[in-house]
Amino acid sequence: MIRLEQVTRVYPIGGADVRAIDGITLTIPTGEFVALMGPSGCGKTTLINLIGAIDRPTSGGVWLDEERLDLLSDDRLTRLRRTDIGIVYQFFNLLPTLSASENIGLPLLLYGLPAREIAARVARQLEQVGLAHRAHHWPHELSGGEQQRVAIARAIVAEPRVILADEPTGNLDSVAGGAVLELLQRLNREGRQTIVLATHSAEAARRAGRIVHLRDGKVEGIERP
Amino acid sequence: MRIWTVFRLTLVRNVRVNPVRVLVTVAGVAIGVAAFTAVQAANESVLRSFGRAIDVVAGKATLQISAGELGFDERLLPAVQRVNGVVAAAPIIQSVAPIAGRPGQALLVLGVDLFAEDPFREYRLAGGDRPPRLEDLLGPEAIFVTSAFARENGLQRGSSLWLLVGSKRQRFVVKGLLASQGLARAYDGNLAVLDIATAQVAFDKFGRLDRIDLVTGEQVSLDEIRARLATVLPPHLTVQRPDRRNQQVEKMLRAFRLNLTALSAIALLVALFLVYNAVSLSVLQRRRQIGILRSLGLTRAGVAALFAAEGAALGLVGSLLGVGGGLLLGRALLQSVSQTISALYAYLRVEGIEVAPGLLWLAVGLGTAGALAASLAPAYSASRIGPKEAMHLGSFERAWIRRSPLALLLGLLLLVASFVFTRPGPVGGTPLFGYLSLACLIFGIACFTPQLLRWAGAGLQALCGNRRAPLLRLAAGNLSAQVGRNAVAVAAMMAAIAMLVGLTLMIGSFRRTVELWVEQTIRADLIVSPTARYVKGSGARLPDNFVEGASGIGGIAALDPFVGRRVELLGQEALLASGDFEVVARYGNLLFRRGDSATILRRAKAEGGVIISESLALAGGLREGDRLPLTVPSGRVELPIAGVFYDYATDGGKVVMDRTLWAQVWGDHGADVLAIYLAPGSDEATVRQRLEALAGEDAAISFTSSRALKAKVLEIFDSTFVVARALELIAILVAVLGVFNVLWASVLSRRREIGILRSVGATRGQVARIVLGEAGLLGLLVEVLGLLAGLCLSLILIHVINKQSFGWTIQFQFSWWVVIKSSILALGAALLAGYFPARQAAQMEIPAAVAYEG
Repeated sequence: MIRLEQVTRVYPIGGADVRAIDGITLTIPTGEFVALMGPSGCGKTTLINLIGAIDRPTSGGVWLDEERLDLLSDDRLTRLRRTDIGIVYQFFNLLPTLSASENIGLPLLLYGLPAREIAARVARQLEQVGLAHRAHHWPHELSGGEQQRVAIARAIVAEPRVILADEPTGNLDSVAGGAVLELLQRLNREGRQTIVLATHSAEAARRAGRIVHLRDGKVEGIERP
Repeated sequence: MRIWTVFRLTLVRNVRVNPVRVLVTVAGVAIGVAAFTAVQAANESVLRSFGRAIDVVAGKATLQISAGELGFDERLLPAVQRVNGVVAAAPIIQSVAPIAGRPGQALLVLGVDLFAEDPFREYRLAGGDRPPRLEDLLGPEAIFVTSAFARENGLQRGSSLWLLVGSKRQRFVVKGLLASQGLARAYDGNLAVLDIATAQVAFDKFGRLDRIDLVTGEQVSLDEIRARLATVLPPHLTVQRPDRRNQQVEKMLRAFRLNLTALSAIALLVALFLVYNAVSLSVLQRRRQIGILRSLGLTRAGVAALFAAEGAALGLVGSLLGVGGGLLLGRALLQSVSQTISALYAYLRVEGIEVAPGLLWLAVGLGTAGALAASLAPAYSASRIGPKEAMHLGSFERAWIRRSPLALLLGLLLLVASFVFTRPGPVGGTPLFGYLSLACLIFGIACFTPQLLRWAGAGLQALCGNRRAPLLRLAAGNLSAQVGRNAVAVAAMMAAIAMLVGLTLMIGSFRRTVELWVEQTIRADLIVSPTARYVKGSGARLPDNFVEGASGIGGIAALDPFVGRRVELLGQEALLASGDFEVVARYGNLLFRRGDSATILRRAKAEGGVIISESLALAGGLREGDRLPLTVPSGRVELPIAGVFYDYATDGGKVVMDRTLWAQVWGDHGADVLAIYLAPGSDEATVRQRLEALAGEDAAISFTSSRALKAKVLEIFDSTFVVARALELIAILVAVLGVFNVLWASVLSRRREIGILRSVGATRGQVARIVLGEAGLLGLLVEVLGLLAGLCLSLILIHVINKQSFGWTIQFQFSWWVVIKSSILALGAALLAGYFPARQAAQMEIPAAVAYEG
C-alpha cells in the first residue's frame, strides 16, 4: 500500500518558492491501478517522483507498506528502487549504449545477480512484452512503442511491488500508446502489482480503476470510471 | 557581421553554461603554448646572448685571425700589421677563469694591448672612477672588472680577486671598474680585462696569442685582404669575419635546440588534441541548437564558421595566456639550458630572458592557427547537421564506429610511412625524416584508438558478462559505445605517455651506454687536471715541470698526458687531441667500432695515423682506412684513420693522435691532463700526496679518482636531461586535462543516463565507480598504446634522431621500471581526472537528471 499524508514539495526557483505539491493526502491500496490526471504543471511528475523514492517531500510523509520513504537513507531508497519500484518515463529513458536486453537486465545487473539468471529473467520479460525478436537491438533501432515496451520490461524485471508510469504514452501514436496501456493493465491484472499512471489523457486514465484529478499541486477530485 | 552576432549570442553564452570545459581547454592550450614559448625564448636568449657577447668582444673588428684553441706565435703580429689594407691589428688572449672559492662562477678574461685597442673597443670607467695611471694599467696583477660584477661580489678598486688561471690560484688587484655598457655587458657582466702581457704570463701563453683582431680599410675588399693575409700566415690559421663565430655557435647548438623544440612541439600537439576534443564535445552538446539555427536560416558554412571560430577563440585566449606563462617558464628553463650549454659546448652567461616580438606573435599564431585547424573537422561535422535532424548523440558515435576500420587502415599506412621515414639520412645535418617518422608514428597509433576502444570495450564486456562485475561491464560498455568522445582523449594522453616512455627509454639506454663506455674507457686510477678545466674555454694546462716531475714519482706504472684543443674541422667545431697511444694500448681501453683497441692504437702510432670519433666519422662520411685532411703549421696533410671509436664526451667530433705526432706537428710537448696508472700494489692516497707535494701549495690542480670522474660524467649527463623531463611532465599535464575534459563532458552529457541508472537502483557509489571505472579503462588503454608507441618512439630517437643529430650510437636497453612508472602515471592520471566527474555524477539529483533534455 502507498500512503501520502499532507505531502508538500516546494522548489525554490529564481528566488521564489514554487509549491509543486501542496498538502496532498492519498492512499493507494496494493494491487490498485490508479491514474493521476491533470494538466501540465499540476504536480503529476512530482508525485510520481515522491512515490518512486527519487525525491523527498518538503513536508509530510510517504509510506510504502510499512516503510516511511522520506525518512530512509539514500542507500535504502536505492535498494527499494532496485527491487520494489519500477518506473516508466515518457521519453523511455533507455541507455543508448546498451541493447534492449541489456537495458532490461540493468536493475538485476546492479543488484549483482548471476549472468545466467539475468539472461533467463530478461528473456521472460522480453517474451511478456512481445519483443523477444528485438533482444539485441539498440534503442535507436526500435520504434517508439517498442522502446516503451523495453522500458516497461525493465521496470518489471525485478518484479517490483509498484510500477510508476509517467506519461508513458505521451510520446507514442495512438496504436502504440494503446498497446502500452493494455500491457500495463495486463500486468496489474495478472501480476497484482500496484500501478500508478500519470497522464493528461482522459482516454488513458479511463483504463485505471480510480482517477485522481490534480490541479495546482492539490487533489481536485477522485472518480471511478 | 551576422555570424559574429550569432557567435556572440551562442558561444560566448555557452561559456557560462560550460565554464569547466572552456577553462580546462584554455588551460591546456596555455600550457602547451607556454612550453613552446619557454623553449623558444630560452633558445633565443642563449643565441642572442652568445651573439651579443661575440659582437661586443669583437668590437669594430672586421676580420679575426685565430687557430681555434691552439693559439699561435705572437711574432706573426708585425707581419699582419704590414699587410696592405690592414688599418689596425690588436692581439688578444681570451680565456675563461673560474673564481677561486666560488664553484660554478667564472669570468671571461680578455688580455688586450691597451695601446692597440682604441680602433676596436671602447672602455669606459664607472662613474666617479679616476682615469687609472699607466702603471696601474700595466701592473702585473692589475685587472679591470665590470661594475656589475664588482657589485655582485662586493669588490671595489683595490680589492683582491683570486682566479684559477692555468693550474694555479692567482691573485689580481681590481684597478678599475668598467661601466655597464658595450663590452662590459657581455656575459652578463662576468668579464674582466687585463694587459696582454699579464694575461700571457697568467695563462701560461708566453709568446702566444689566441686571436688578432683587425680593422681593415674600406677601399680593399675583405676577400682581397684575406688572400693577402694568407700569404703571410701559416696555413692552419683562419681569417674570418667575427659574425662567422655566431654561425658556428648556431650550428653547434642546432641539434640541441632542435631536440628541445621538438619536445615542446609535442606538448603543443597534445594541447591541440584537447581543442579538437573540446570543439567536438561542443558540437555534440549543442546539436539541438545547431538544428534550431539551421532551421532559422543559418547556412552550413555559417555553422562551420561558428565552431571553427570557437576553436580559434579557445586557441587565441589560451595562446595569449600561454605566451605570458611561457616567458615566466622560460626564465626557469634558461638557467638549466645555459648550464647544459656551459657544460657541453661553451662558457655562457645569459643576461636574462629576451625574445623578439616575432616569437610571441609566432607562439600566439601557432596556438591559434593550430586550434583553428584542430576544430575544422568537428566544425565540418557540425555543418552536416540538417535543420530537421538535431544530430542525435547516437548518430555521432555511430559515424565514428563506421569510420573506425578506415581509421585503423590509415593508422597502418602511417606506421608503414613511419618506418619508411627512418631510412633516409639527415637533410642538411637535421634528422628531418626522423621527425616525420615520429609524427607518423604518433598519428598512426592515434588512428588505432577508435577501433581499439571498440574491441577493448566489447572484449571487457564479454569478460565481465561471466564474472559478475556489473559496474566494470557498464564502464566497458561506455568505453566502446562512446568511441568518438573517448578516442581523442585516449590519443592525446597516449601521445604524452609515449613521449614519457620514449624519452625514458632513450635516456635510460643512453645513460647505460655512457655508463658502459665510462667503465670501459676510464681505466686510469687517477686523473690529474687543472681545476679550471672544469669550465669550458679555460684552456688550462698542467705546468710542464709538474708533468716532467710526475713521471719520476714512485708507485706510478704509466702516465698518459692528454692534450685537447677545439678547432674547426670539416666545417664544424671538433676536438683535436693527443695521448700516449702505447700507454693507452697497454693499460687503457677505447671502444672501437671495429677491431681491437691495443692493435689499432699501436698501428696508428706506427703509421703516424689518427683515430676519430664515431660522430666525426658520420659527419664527414669517413671510415677506417680513409685519410683525414688536416691543416697544420707545415701545410695540409692527410693522416690515415686507423680506427673509429665511440665517444660520448662531445658531439662535435674528436680526432686523437699519438703524442709523438702531436709534438712533431704542433711543437707542443706539454699536457692538459694526466691519466695516471698506478703500479701494482701501490697506494692511491700515497701517490696522490706525492703529486700534491709536487704541485705545490698555490696549485689549483684537481686529483680525481676514476670512480669520482665516472660519477661526475654521469652527473653532467643527468643534468642535461632536466629540461627534457620537465617538458615531458608538461605534456602529461595537458593530457590529464584532456581526460578530465572528456570525463567531465561525458558526465554532463550523460546526466539523463546517470539519472536513469540511479532511478533503476544504482547507488551513488556505483555511479561514481562506473565513471571511475571508465577513467581507469581509458587509462589502461592509454598505457598499452603509450607503451607500444613509446617503445617505437625510443627506437626512432636512438637509431635515427640522435644518431643523425649527434652521431652517437646508443645501445637500446629496455627497463621494466618505465612500464611501472608509466602505468602508475597513466592510471593515476586517468583516475585523478575521473575523480571530480565521478563525484559530480554521484551527487546528481535524479528528478532533474531524468527530466533533462540535453
